[in-house]
Amino acid sequence: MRDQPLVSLRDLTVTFDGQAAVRGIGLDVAMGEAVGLVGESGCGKSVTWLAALGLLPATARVGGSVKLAGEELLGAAPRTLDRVRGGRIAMIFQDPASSLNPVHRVGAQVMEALTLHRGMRGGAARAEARRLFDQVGIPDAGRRLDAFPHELSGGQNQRVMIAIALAGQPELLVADEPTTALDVTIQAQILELLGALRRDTGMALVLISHDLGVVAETCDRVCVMYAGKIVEEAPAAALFDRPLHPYARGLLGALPPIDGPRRPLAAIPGSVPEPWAMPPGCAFAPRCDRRVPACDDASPALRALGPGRRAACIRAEAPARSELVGA
Amino acid sequence: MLRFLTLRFLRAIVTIVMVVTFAFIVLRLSGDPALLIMSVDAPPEAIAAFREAWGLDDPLWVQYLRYFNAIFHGDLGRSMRDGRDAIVLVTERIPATLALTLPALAIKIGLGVPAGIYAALHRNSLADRMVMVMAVAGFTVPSFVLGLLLVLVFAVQLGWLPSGGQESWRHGILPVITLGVGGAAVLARFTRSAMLEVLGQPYIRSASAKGVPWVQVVRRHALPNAAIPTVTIIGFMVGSLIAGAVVVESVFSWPGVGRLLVVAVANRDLAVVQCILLLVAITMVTANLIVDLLYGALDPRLRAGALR
Amino acid sequence: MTLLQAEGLVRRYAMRRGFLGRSVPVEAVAGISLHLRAGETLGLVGESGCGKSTAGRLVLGLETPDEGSVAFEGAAMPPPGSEPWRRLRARMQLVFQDPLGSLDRRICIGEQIAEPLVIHDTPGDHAARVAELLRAVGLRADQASRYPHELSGGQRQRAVLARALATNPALLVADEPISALDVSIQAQVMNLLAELQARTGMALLFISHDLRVVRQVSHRVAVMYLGKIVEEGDPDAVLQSPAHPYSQALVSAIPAPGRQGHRIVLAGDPPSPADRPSGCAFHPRCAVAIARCRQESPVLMARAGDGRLVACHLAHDITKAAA
Repeated sequence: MRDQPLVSLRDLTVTFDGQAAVRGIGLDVAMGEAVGLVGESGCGKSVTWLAALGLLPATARVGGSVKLAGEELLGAAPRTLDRVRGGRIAMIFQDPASSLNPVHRVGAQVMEALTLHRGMRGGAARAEARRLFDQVGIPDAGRRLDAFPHELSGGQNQRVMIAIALAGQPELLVADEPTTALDVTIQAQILELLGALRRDTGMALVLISHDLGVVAETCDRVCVMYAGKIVEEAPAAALFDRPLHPYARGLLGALPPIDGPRRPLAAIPGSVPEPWAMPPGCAFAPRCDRRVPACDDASPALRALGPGRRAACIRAEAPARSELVGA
Repeated sequence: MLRFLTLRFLRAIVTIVMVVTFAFIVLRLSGDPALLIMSVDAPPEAIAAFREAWGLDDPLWVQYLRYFNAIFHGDLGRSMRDGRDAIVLVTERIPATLALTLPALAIKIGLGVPAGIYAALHRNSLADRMVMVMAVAGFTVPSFVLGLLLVLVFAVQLGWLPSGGQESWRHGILPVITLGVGGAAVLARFTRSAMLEVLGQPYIRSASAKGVPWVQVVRRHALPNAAIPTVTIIGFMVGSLIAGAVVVESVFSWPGVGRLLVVAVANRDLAVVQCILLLVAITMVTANLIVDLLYGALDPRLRAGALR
Repeated sequence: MTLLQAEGLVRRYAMRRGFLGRSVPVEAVAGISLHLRAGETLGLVGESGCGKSTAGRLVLGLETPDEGSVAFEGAAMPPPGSEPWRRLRARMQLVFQDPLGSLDRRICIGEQIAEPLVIHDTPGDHAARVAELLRAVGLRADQASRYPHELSGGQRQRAVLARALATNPALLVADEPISALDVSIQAQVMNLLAELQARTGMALLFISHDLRVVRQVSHRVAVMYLGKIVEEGDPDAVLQSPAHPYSQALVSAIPAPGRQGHRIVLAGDPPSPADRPSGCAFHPRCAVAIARCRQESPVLMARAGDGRLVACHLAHDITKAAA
């Protein structure tokens, strides 16, 4: 019963100083859904969502459309955006320590969001902040409210960031590499927490990560990005079972396996094209082992290839019926 | 906290002692006060008598110890020129200097800080460029050039304001402007770069991401952080309230501490020079101490450690 | 032949608590022994602050241990700065996580790769050797004239590797050499390391936080927690059936496509070495800790049966229960 997507990006483009960072993204996020956005650094996965929320510096040129429940956000009035940000769509970032203001107590930073989005002040705000700290699993919540960010560990700071995000009771949480700066065991804690919160609150989640494993575990649907475009979109299980785009296949092949025989990894040769030297056709063609002359003609569009699956590759084929997984 | 204060206090004392010692040695190595004050053609017996009267014939270390002993007894010596207590000579000039430096400080802060903040918030705009051009000009043009230029325009050409002296408040306008504009330029530059640095921090983006309106992002999240480096410069300016007007006082013949210093150095009036330097060192060090304490108030990362 | 033999290494630092607090001695490395044979790779895994980087520096003689000894090629590590110590630099090299930080931005990479040859007065044609090294790490010889900022992250790390290999070291310590790189580039560098090792026979101490990366490149893996090795053994075996509860948590924390079932999530943060818990340092986060774990620090010793080295009072009991 998904009449209207919660958030809908159409032809989103972002340009910095004439150089394209995002080259036409179309993406829908449904209510309560968990979507993963995977890609290597510079592929535009973070910029996409910073642009959607109007968080890029003024030098960035953003084009296309970003709709939240039908309402256009691009070019919306600052007051509208301030109500959306942290209210209906919250965002958390990679480095929790520097994402919190060092001169304010963490409790005050949560209460600020409570005041803005739920009109809470004083004792009521403090009590709610404390409840949020409990909810995100910060031990000794009452006392931790008065701590400064530098007095907390990286994992606890990320929990504080999540508490701030939850303060506005958002319909969508955009988590931009939320565990990249954290240790493995702390990463496991935060992913577990995000999963639990999603179950409890029913909010949708966009998880931006360079780590296929992280996304695979957390998300229902995954979009693989390369050089500012989505090159493959698929249900998580299906993507890992049978990636259709050569880049997605390459990313999976580059991941060291946890078991089985150890053999040389199938590394993708070369490196990501620079924005000022974008190939004329498919951006991945120069690194692709399945390249044919036609790949250089035009940048391929996403094509539907089976249920919930799309890939931007002229040579990709839909998996045979017998191979379908989780459709 | 007590430990922190004691440590800082001890460090301040050491700094002052070092300044005073340095001044003592340099002054005595750079010319014979007896010859300067008595004039070169004075009879040798008179010069010898002068030296003996002021203890200048003793070895340097004896003079040094004697000097320090006197300081600890509150005696800063007497002027070799008119025999009055150096401390009296100096203190009676302080109000005149403060009459210039205090309004100038107000101009520096009142003009420099807002200009810097505005420039940072409107980076690369016309206003930003203008502020930066002015700042660079104020930064590079020496105060005596600016002072003379102002005199040329407002005193000589237009005849609106007097060019020197201290007869009325109008005499103070040009020197105050000369002092204030240069400092404001320095402060504007500094505030701007501090603000730009802070505005580029991830926590500013995350404040926007949680829906804080931009005005509040600036006020609540950017300014308190940008204040930390800016306070250092302001502290330095406060520290130079007493001695920061040497050049300007000379240009405008303003009878303040700075002019007294110039005259006393020229005459090797040892006690007066040393007294002024001691005073300067004390104000500088005190200002620094206050800045350190302010850091603690502004930046919890420093405070937490100091309190623990 | 054992190339490197480090016994009972302890490294203490004076750590200040707070801004002006009293300094307390902190054991960053709290008694570890490492052995490496020629041509072998030992993977050293652990989370930030576990002492793995310090261990690497101790092994190289860049830091002097407060207790214990390092022997390289059968001889004790000479005192730092001495002539024999300096000569030894050619035999053992270090590469770090951040390739841009370890390269000089103002000097072209060819010159930087030739630098160790100049320092150690290596005979022969340096230019030819640089070209050979560049090709060995998968760069082109003409890229010698490039400056670090003209290369991509992966190419920079290749250049750093070329420099480290210039003097044909017998031991390479690689401290998180691929963590700053993108996934597809990580795979390239991992393959390169394996290839270089096969060709030169150098020993590799591979320090990383990533167990799957370590499994990919190592012949043996040692898991560190708070300055000590808690488990050591064959990488496949350790990943398949970790014996120490901490290794179990690490393995279970590896995010993997299609992972199903129960995940062990450790509570809390790793303690600071300044607040080392009594007994087994892991006991406050350990789900199976017993009273003994709070009092008695377990010794790393071979487990009955497969000979895996484990430092856990319960390791043997756990495996017995599982068997």
